[in-house]
Amino acid sequence: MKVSVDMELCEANALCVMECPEVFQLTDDDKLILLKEHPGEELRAKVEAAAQLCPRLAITVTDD
Amino acid sequence: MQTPTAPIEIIDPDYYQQNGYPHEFWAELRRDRPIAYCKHPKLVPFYAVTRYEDIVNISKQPGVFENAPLLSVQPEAEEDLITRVRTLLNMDPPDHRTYRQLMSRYFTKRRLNEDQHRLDQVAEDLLDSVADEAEMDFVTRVSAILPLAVIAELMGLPQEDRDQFFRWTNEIVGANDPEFRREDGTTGRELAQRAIEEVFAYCTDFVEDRRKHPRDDLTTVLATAKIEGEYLPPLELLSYLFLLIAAGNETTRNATSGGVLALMEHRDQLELVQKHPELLDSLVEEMVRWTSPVIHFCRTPNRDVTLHDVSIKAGEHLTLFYPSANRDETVFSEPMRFDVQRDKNPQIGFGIGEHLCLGAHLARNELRAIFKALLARLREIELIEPPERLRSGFIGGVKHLQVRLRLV
Repeated sequence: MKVSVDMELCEANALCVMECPEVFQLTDDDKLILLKEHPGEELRAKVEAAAQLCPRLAITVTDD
Repeated sequence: MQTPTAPIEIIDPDYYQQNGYPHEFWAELRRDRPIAYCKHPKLVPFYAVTRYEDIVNISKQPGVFENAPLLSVQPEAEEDLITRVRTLLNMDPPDHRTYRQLMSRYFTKRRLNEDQHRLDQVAEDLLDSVADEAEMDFVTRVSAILPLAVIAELMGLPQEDRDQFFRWTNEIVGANDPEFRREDGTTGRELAQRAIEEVFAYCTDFVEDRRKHPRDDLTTVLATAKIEGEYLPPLELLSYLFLLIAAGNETTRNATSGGVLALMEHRDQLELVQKHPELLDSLVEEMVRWTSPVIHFCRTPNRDVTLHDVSIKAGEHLTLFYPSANRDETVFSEPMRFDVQRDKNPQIGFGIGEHLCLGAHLARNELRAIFKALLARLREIELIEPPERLRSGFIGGVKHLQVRLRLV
């Protein structure tokens, strides 16, 4: 699975960070850091939930 | 195939004024006719979109479903008045992103949360100022004041101009409501047009001032912002300031009034949140879901599309009904129940995607401030007259809420 974030859309709402801190992190100045571009399958449910929760719809999950 | 039609009640401002939201009609549309054509002699024809999933999917595709052609279906306007101004609401990418990014970093959750204690103080002071009044119009004395005070502060505009912001907003958003007409026989359109001209003239002075004397406020940020080396063009700049003023007060006012009304109508929930202050955040989300103060925005596809077997031509209009999405039974369990303990509440009262409300976190913090203060001090609250609703199928407004109130 491949995760990508449209940084132009991201506005640091932090819902993804709460849902899946293994993959998403926010810096102190509201920059999103994608910790894993290719997270393991065990994280799929959490990553997909994070994508669904993003109010800006900035997260895309695709298959490798 | 004949296209299924939607009942006029879902857009009729008289219906909204007399009855509030047409939830029964929306529920029927969600079940049987998720994309329903609505045609009426006084209206621009449109397709009503009522399901949560469809509204999210359409909002996901700003490259296809555009905002610029039509912002909202306004029955008595010959043309869509609000689209004469050019704001984030009727821009599409790439302009929308360029303009939004000028402001978005001032509206992040982290940044706004730093000001929560300040908002709490404004809310406390506001309740102090009304604590001696046994009966009052909760809308004009409380709901309207906090967001006006806060947006004036953020923009660095004088607090004493709040009454003008209130009047302008009412005249523009409430252009179809007779209460806000002036007594010289002007039509709603003329009134709104004049109010916009007044806002623009007012803001022009502040733009000039801030370019000479920059301050730490949002007016300075916009007045001095540059795109490709140039100041924003006057229409876009003044429209932006107007958007911050108007959008910064009308919807939060209505969420507050609607929230108070919901708590009065659901006494068990009121008791629950008073007993459990930790439910504050979940109360705020539920109030936004329940009140959904923005009734609709439109999207216009730039190519032919098919939704649920309904063919829509490029240039035809879709109308997204957010309060309907927020009562979608496939997303929310017991959607018709006002439940402050809802554990799953992905409400889209602020919209979703490209055009997600810029001020969503500010609105949440304002609601948090006012309800935290109110619930801690409230001993009695009772409706003494039926609520008076705004005559609009666009913004779900409560104009007046006469209550008997006892605060400690």
